[in-house]
Amino acid sequence: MFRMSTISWRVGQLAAQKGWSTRRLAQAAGLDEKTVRNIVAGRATRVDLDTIARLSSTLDVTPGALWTSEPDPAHAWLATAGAAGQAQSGELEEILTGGQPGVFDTSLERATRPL
Amino acid sequence: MSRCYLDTNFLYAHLRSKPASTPDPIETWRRSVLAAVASDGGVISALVLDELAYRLILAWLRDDGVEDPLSRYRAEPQMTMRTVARRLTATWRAVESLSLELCPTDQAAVARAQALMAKPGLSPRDAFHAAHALVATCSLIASTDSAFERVRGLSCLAP
Repeated sequence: MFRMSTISWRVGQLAAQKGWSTRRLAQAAGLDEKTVRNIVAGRATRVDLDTIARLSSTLDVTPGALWTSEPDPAHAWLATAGAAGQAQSGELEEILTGGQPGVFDTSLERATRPL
Repeated sequence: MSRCYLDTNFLYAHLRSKPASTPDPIETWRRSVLAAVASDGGVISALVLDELAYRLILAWLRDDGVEDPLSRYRAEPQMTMRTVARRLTATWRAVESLSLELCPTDQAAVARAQALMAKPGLSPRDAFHAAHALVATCSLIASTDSAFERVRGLSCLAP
């Protein structure tokens, strides 16, 4: 099932595993230190393929390992608002006043259902 | 830490209303609950799923123009379930995507519910909801039901 995710860089974590500073990583990869610093800080949103190739090669991981993705609850809540249709006029107002549209006590409904 | 148990009426309102650009009472409630859930996650129980399905089935029958949904449901339960099957499947997927914690109905939850029925005298359904919330270490319950205010250790996050 598709879920909205938050994608974030793992470059800082991978560099730390090697005991490297941002400067050391930039030097080893032949990249501008500011570029690497922005990636590690999560500020970089547009990174070219050459930079990605250099980072993955230098860190000895596949390009995909440079990121991690986690489910984003905020996106999920936004996406599911109204997922069961739009309430009819007065339907939600009854909920707000503590009532329920129609017969909603499922235990009562079941307990009083004709045999 | 303030974990939040989501009562059925909150999830029902969420699933039956698109986000409003101008905050109405439902939208304001949704935002306050989501702020609570964002930090420590949301908790539900099988009771919530049971009630949610039942309420939505009746709502969908009304959407389809059935004047007396409960009578229709009782008279033709299998036909009704076939009619709403796709919508119910889509709803389960929506709820699943929220990554809510499902508190199990175990012996601890049952014992807690029994105690809450005796004191402060909650109705059986309310007692089971409150019991699940407490067992799951929730201090908040998103609900319009004021009965939960009588439960020590629970605060109601109402509209």
